[in-house]
Amino acid sequence: MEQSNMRASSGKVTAPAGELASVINGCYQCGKCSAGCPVASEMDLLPHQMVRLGVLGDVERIVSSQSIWLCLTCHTCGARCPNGIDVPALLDHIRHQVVAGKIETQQPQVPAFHTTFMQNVRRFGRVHELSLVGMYKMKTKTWFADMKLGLEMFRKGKMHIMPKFPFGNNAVKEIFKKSSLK
Amino acid sequence: MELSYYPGCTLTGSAQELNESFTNAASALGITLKELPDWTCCGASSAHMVDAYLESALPARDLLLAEELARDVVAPCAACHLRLKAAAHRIGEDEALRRDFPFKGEIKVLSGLELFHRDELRAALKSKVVKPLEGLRVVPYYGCLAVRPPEILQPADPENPMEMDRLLEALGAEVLDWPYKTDCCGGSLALTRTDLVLKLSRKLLDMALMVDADVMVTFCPMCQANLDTRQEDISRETGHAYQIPIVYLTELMGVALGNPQARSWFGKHLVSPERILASKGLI
Repeated sequence: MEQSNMRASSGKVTAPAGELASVINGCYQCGKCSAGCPVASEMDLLPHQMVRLGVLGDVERIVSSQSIWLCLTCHTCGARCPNGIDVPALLDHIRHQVVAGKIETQQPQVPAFHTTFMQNVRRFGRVHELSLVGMYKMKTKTWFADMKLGLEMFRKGKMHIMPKFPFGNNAVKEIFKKSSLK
Repeated sequence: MELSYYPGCTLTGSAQELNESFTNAASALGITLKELPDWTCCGASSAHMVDAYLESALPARDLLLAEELARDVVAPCAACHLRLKAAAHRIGEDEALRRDFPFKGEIKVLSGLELFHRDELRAALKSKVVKPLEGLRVVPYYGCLAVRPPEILQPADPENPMEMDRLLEALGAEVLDWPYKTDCCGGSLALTRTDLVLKLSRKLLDMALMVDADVMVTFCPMCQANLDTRQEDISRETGHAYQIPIVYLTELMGVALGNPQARSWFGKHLVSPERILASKGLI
């Protein structure tokens, strides 16, 4: 336990420590997480392999994998793990550092979407779907993907042009000041 | 019964039919919903991916608002419900967070399914059915966030939930046995890896077709949007026409309770359930 707290990672991302480390140390590599993962076939590192790397403190390999952003956070792995290890909890720990440190990764459109989402929340207090999609497309230069679908949703009245500004907007801005997305 | 109501962003936007059918169903069962004044976003499926403080603090603000009013709060959106519950859990463990958001846990956070599944409400629902959904073959699709993570949500059975099955039976529908009740539709990668999402969603739709379902029933707005809007892409990719309506449980409650507004909700769907429901004489 103490040793795991002292493990240093090679780069900007620190290995799991404390409670998280002690939980993942219980992994005996049965592979049940990987067997049930709906995106395992697309992954370059399987869930049980990521847990092992986490135990060994080699988080750089997770940072540079596709898998870290392919994880759907469906928690099927965690729900079935005989040792109560939730792989998304391990990955969230790493993802937070990747986002805060603006570290380049594979599948960059995934963190781009989530940060755009949060910027939208910071701005409006609530999510405004139309500007979220617009901002995401601007960031990723994917102007034409889903254009037909977007128009259809607009026609059905599922997208609002104007955002609503709740009064709690300022409280939300204050919350963001204590986060890595200032 | 009086409850605070946390609609969440999606129900004010792309899932208005869930908002309308949910509030209608609640009112038909004698539940008074009072929208939480000044509520803000719970952080949804994004906050936990980018920052630990945002993950808990955004929903914690809403929890505090709800606790001030001393009423239990219901959040129909599966993601909002999970985020609020997870924050309540975290506040109990994290002293620094508790200092910022002194939520005492004196109120309950309810999911829509949990609410309607209560014995007295299920009995009331059954007694108010004027149009039993006879002959309607349905597959209940719970998705991820109704049951996972189980340590937060404490489901009776995370692999084989039955709450929606029982409610659909109360409405008179023919509930089909199928294996993908809680398999992920891929919603969180909807815009970022659409190719993967098409595969995952297609797997679910194929199984629904295999058991000859008329409609797939859900309570989660991400699942509904994902499965409803992607059928055209899947049809184009496979050369087969996918036309399976994905309806909210509360929309079917509206139909069974004889709510004349039900048709207006179906106009919001890309694959409308109107034709199949009309062919069974239900609308």
